[in-house]
Amino acid sequence: MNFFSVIRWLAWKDLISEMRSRETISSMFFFALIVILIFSFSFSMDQQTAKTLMPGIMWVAFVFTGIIGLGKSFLAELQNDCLENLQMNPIPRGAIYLGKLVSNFLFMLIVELILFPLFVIFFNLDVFDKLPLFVLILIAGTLGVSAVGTLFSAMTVQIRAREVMLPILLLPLIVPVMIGAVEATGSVLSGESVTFYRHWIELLVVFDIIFTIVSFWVFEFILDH
Amino acid sequence: MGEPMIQLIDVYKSFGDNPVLRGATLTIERGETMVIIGGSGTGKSVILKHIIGLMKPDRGKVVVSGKDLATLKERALDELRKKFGMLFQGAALFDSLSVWENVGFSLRQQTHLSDREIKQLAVEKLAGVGLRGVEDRMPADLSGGMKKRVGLARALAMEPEILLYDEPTTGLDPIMADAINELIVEMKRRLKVTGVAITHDMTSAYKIADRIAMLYQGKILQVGTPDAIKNSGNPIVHQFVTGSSVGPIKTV
Repeated sequence: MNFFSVIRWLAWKDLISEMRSRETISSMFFFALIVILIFSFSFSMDQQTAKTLMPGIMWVAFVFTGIIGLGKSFLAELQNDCLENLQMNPIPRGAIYLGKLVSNFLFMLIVELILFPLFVIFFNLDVFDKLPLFVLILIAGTLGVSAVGTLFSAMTVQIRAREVMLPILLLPLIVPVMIGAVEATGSVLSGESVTFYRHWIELLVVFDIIFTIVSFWVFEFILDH
Repeated sequence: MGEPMIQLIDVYKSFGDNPVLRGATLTIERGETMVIIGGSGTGKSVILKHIIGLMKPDRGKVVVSGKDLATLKERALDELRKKFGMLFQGAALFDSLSVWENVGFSLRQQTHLSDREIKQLAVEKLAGVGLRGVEDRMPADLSGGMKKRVGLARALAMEPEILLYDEPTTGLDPIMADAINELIVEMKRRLKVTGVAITHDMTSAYKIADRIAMLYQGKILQVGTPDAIKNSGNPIVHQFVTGSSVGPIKTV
């Protein structure tokens, strides 16, 4: 198998496993659904307040939901020794990282795409003419969280307190993604011109590129140590 | 006697402040099955990981087939790893792949065989470990013993020179454990492979070993035939093989 086949195979393997067990996506979905319900019933909001609050609530829900999925990312491989099996084969470590990144990204994005309409309904927002921009921000923000999260998931999987360590390590690093995604989402909701929030989207894209490349290079060291 | 297959020479390994291997030295000859015994957390798995080059010693040398692993580049190490097959404690089967795809995993990674050829070889290897008609089943449909057999078939798929067994009988009932032990003995007789097993199951150790090495406090305390280990005058070895809680090995 070449480099790209390994990435495709790993991502496909995780998707198939998830389709069979539905363990990760269901827990992510129900957690985020509870967050939406709690927030939507906690505040009585007019549409202007909703536009102000919704981006922050939405990204908090997405990131914490993502952490649930990221925490399980390498666990199955570790529990039945598959990680060592992968290491014993001449598979480029970077391809393992990218394969896992693709599956983590897809899990998060699928849940977000299911939840986004619920946010729109519960917060009574009019977003249909801006959907492509929302999807772009979702993709850029989710990729940033997945890029760093996949690396830290591998780093913490062998630690006993991994459920605690993963968010502790991950959350400070993804603050720029959170800020960029919340600001960009808020600006799109307010109907501002793209020139006013383009820099936030650019921040997300630059973050994605830098952290995907750095994580790709560091992953071999993490896996072997 | 020719060149040894595997040598650990004065190997030290620590994890943070915790020294695990403290001068472990062991020679494994071609064609023999060496069983490394020792308590939980004494570094048996660490030794296996050093032998396959997944870990590097802090000090000392690991030599496989005359090659010092520390001097090998990643590509050469990958090449050397083709000599190895490994039966993992958890069988290491990918849930999303069928049995034959699991058995053919390394073949797909390391050869240019077609799927049809890989499946044919996988079916042969499965038959070799006593499994017929399971190639299209999923790992979730198999019992623990069957999973171990599939793991063994996969370990044999690349026709390795060295077979590593990580706790081969852990989690199996005594009858299934004995069946796996029989298979290991048969593989050695039939394929003439060098075997290294780590276990704390003494029944298994006596059955599959040509020689047994006792790992204690990061060092190999004694190496000998199963009979020599069984009748060892060393109080630590004696306590371990008899499974007594009274003796120099402290349980708390």
